[in-house]
Amino acid sequence: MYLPTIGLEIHVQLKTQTKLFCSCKNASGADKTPNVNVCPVCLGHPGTLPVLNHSAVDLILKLGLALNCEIPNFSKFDRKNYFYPDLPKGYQISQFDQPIAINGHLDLLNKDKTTKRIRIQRLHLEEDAGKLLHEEGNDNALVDFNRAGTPLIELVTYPDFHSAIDVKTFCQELQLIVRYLDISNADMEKGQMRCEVNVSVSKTDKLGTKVEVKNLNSFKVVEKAVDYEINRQSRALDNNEVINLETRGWDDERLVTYSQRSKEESHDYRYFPEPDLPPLKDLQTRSQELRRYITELPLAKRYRFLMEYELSYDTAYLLTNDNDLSNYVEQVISELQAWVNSTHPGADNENWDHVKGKLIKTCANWLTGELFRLLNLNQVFLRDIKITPENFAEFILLIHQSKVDTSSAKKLLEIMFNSGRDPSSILEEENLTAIDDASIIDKYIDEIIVANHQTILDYKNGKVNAINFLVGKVMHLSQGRIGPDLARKKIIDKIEISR
Amino acid sequence: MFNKEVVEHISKLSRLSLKDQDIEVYTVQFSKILDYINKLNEVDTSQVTPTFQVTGLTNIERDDILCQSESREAFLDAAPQKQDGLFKVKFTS
Repeated sequence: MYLPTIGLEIHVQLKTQTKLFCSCKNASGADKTPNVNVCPVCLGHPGTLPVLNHSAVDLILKLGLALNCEIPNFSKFDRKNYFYPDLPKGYQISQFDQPIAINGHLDLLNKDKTTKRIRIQRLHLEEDAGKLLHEEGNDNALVDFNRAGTPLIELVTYPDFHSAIDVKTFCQELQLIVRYLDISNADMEKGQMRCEVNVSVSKTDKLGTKVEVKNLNSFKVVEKAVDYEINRQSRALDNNEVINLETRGWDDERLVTYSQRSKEESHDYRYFPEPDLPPLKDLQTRSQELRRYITELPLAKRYRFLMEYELSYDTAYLLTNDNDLSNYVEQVISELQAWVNSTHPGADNENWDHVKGKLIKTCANWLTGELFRLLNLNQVFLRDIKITPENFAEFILLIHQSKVDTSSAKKLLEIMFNSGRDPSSILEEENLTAIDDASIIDKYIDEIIVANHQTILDYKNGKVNAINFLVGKVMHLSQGRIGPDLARKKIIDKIEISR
Repeated sequence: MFNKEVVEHISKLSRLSLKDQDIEVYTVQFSKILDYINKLNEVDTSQVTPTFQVTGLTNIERDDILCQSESREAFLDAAPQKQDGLFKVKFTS
């Protein structure tokens, strides 16, 4: 068996207003008309001077802190020289030997609540290139420089991965972190986050030749490409073939990697310090001031959801995979807690501790089940939802107090979803309140029993499933205001008494 | 050592296609130029710190505020070739 070793290089497009070195709009790919967001600086006209975007530095410092990096006090920019038509100046302004953040790590949470640590080598700032459009059938290319000069963070990990699934998990976790911190939308399909993987396999402690794979535009593709490379390289070595040091692309049609142009070596880039940009100093003090903007990160939140809310791993994961969602959940839970405390005034949250497990579980089930279904069905984002956390909490309490049964609750939630109205008033107006008057319930049950004499006989003769038919009848007659469990219990009671 | 392979490599990096006879000429010329520049290596710089910056400035940054250029046509006109709002260039791989 070969042990795969994998390292990552990830580019994240920053969500600044303007480009990295000029005041042109950073449209993050949303600009459909070519060359509208350009100026002499990002077009590389002679005599122009780049000036660094303050926000971009803040954003990379924030990510550096979130990823437990050291922030060296001093940092500078360098020119990376190469010729390509999408690079107007003939060099890219990047950072070579003194990046802004170094030696960090990101812990991935395993199912058994242990963590797996991936070390991060560095984070640096650099400018993006323009976009090339090839003209069919000739040697020309057409260039759009809207993206040229927009800010990127390049993140480089140590080769700490040994499986495709860990690589995918890391990428997803990083995406979540940059979204939590509002650093980037990090949509892979839109190129706002781009992953390159370096894969090698070996049977010994000595690492094999590494192959770089590019053009991976979704998490699924990242995972597939890594698995493909591991297999390809293992087979090649089994056949005594030599692995070439090369860059490969991913072909999403044929699901294979293919050899690309041979890459220039690092020394071919002739890096040298960017003379037009004064260096950065006192970054440590600056990063300390930014520390207070680092909100609770996904890992910590997930852990808290597991411990404090007593949710399962999968549910905790699901509810923290989106900042809007986890905030919504917390608001709902805090409303639930406020209600419990106000209706059961007692010392020290005793009552809350008593019921929170059940309430939060009900809440999580309705959120991830019916509410998700409604959001997907109607193509609505959670942030645009009409149901306030307060109303959702009230909805959960109505279920908790058996004031509405499951099938009516579905109707109720749908009306809340469409109208934004509060659940209690809907219940009254739409006549969905579960009937809790025993005499009325008895009246409905009796009516059904009388009208279905044959079914009762069937049941008595051992056809147990016949009861379901009667339950359905009761629910229909009461327009869902008597729930199935209650109906079943009442019917069986009546039949048993009459035996 | 400056040889033919180095010239070929540099021509590749600079996306210049050279004829065989040019390569011969440049190999000789490059060597001479480098020998001349190499005289600088004779200077003792062990006590000199490298200079990357001459202004003494640090932390020069601007606020992240949009200031849109509005001369799209002028930029496109400044290029040798344009097409449909795009810069047209010879493709080099």
